Amino acid sequence: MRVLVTHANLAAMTGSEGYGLVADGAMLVEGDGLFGWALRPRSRPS
Amino acid sequence: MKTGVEDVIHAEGRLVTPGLVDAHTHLVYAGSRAGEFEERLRGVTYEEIARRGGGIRSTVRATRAASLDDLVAAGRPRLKALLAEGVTTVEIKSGYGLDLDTEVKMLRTARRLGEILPVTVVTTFLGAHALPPEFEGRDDEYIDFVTGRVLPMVAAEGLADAVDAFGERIAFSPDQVRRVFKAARGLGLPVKLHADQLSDQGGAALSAEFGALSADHVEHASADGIRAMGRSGTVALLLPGAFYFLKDTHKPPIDEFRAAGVPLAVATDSNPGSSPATSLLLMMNMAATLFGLTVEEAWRGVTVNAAKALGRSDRIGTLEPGKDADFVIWDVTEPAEAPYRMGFNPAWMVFRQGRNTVDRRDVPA
Repeated sequence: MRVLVTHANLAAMTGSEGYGLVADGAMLVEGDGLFGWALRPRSRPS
Repeated sequence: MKTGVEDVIHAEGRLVTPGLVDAHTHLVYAGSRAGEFEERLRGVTYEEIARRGGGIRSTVRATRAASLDDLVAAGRPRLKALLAEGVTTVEIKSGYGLDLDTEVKMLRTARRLGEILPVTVVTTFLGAHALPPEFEGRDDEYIDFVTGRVLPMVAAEGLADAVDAFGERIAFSPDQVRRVFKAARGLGLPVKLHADQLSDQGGAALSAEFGALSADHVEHASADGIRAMGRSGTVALLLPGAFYFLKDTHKPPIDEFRAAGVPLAVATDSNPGSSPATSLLLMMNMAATLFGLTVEEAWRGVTVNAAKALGRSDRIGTLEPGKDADFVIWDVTEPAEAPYRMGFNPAWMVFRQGRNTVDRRDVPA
């Protein structure tokens, strides 16, 4: 099962400090239960 | 929509974090200690209760008498309460058996809970938790028994992911802890320590000496010990539930941990005697209000640093490609909102290894 989460306020907890926040982010969960990708901001129309 | 995507979740600006990691619990046990709670309210100290055979020993009696199925039934609701708040990984210790059969039974119970509930269970052997009555006055012989008989069997059966000990005046001396750690190291198991909770026993330095995953409690950790932890990468695992419940007043030296670059983690210490807690969110609030952690430190303490305390940073604790898809969508937008409120659970959806385990999308706000 693949799950796509969009329009999220992602707190990835990456880096040595801080939340690793990405506003309006998205992430994909692959069928094997791993993050396929994350922290990819939704593209916005210019 | 991306081809092959079965579920698209519009989070609508909600906060998404890694699944929470409760890195220190004793949630497998039998019996109740509510009576001791009443005694402590009347002024009897935890140390006094322990000296006359209460405390840990009363739970040992009940746990020895319980079957594995009894322990599963007792532990299950405690674990489910944690899961409902977004916990996706939990550490569970033995330590209420203090004999071969019951220590093995407890660890098997923990493994069983990880099979029947959607949570990753990490087990810890805590044979050196307290001195059982049959070894009264023979502490060193009990350590011989733990290191020579119980631990080798536990390791041979793959029942423990780590080894812990309780280093304290009412438990085991630094030399006895050192013997347990050497035995663990000989079996290739990482160690951790209930360190300097009630007094400075040199536990922080001892933890660092053995490259422990974590030193837990650490209210009385010395400055030298803290600096050693900073060098060894040992996590300071803070347990504000026990601090609160025991009405302790000596806070862990948070500023010194910060200065030494020691990662700070936060856990429930869920246990019947000193922290009958099953809410990691409440522990985040307590770590902030009682110990002075920032909201950011509280969050890192139950995610990335808690994963480090379990030696699982390669799999969990952050939202990163290739890691287990353990995450929580919270029905709040800002990180401060979850630990700010007390007794409120904003977990909206929980995923563990890519599978949805909690779904409150249809629950009216």
